[in-house]
Amino acid sequence: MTEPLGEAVLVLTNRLDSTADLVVEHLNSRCVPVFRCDTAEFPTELTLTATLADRWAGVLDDGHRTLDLARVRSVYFRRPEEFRLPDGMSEAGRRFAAAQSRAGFVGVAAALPCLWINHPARDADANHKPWQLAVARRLGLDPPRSIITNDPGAARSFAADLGAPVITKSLGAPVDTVVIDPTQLDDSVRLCAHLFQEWIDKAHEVRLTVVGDRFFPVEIHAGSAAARVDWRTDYKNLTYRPTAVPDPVRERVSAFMRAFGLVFGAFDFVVTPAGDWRFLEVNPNGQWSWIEHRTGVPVSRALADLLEKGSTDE
Amino acid sequence: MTTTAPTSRQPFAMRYAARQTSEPADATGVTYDRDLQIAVTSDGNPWAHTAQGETSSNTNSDSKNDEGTDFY
Repeated sequence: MTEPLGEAVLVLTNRLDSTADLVVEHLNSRCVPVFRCDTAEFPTELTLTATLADRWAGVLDDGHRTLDLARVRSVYFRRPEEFRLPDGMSEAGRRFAAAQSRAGFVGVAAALPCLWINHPARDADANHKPWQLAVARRLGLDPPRSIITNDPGAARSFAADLGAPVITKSLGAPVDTVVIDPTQLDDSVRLCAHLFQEWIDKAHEVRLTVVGDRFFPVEIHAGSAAARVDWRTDYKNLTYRPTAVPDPVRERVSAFMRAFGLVFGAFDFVVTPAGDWRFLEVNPNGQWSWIEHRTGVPVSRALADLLEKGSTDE
Repeated sequence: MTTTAPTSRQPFAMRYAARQTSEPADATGVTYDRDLQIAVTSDGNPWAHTAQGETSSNTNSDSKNDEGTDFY
């Protein structure tokens, strides 16, 4: 075992995560100790030994570096992958080992009392779109009128009452945002929960990346019909421009971040032709490096700043 | 005589299942540098700064876009 790193940043992600690479490079250039690993490397390549004292104390070792669990200054939780278990185990043994590993490895990590970007429990909460929408509505972020239902009649009534086009979008499964024809709402709505919303006319959309108290708003202008409905469906026809956040929106987004305990958030807004900002959703572990590459907004530097500092305090 | 349950029914929104609109980042020749703790191309340059690493809107090899890992 090597000498444990002092005051290290723990980066939990897969090895081919070029987004995390940008942050690690900043930390390397500042000589901040980094211990990067993937849960997929446990238990075959990672060894964990944690003893309960006032907090979990011990080490995480990958054969190349050793992390002192009592001296972790911050954690960047990006894209860790499922545990890769040793060959030769029965299916029952694999299920057992995966359950034990999840509870043990992730449990010890989640108990580290330091700055997390973001803590996975906070990510999990904020990933619930119905919860996001309720908090956004309460805080005045003006999300679209919405219904979640598996009742085709309720969906048809909602659409009829809107006086506006209706969209359906993902509640969790991979679904494009699309404008629907309400006459096609049939019994297939009964098969699961569906989210329907009013369509909001847009001048453009904004991807607002928030890191602590730093805001990186970028306008996304769609150059095709498909991108105007859902910009994720046509990246080749998008143009980007850094912009500014109206003060009331900034205050409400800050309140939203506090409500969910988030340090990082990738927010999507529609900006209407009248200039109003309407909340669509937040991706608590959303992608951001393509925005940095296209516009130069320094998200990776801001993340490295916080991880190095180990605190969001002024 | 046995019958089988129909399997062709699918939820309304599933007809709009997400299309694959961007190519996953090309990781050909990319390896993980254990000293730097980043991915590097075959010529030793940081992958995150190469065209391969930049042009994918996923900016990641997992093609998961904004949907983060719900690992907790």
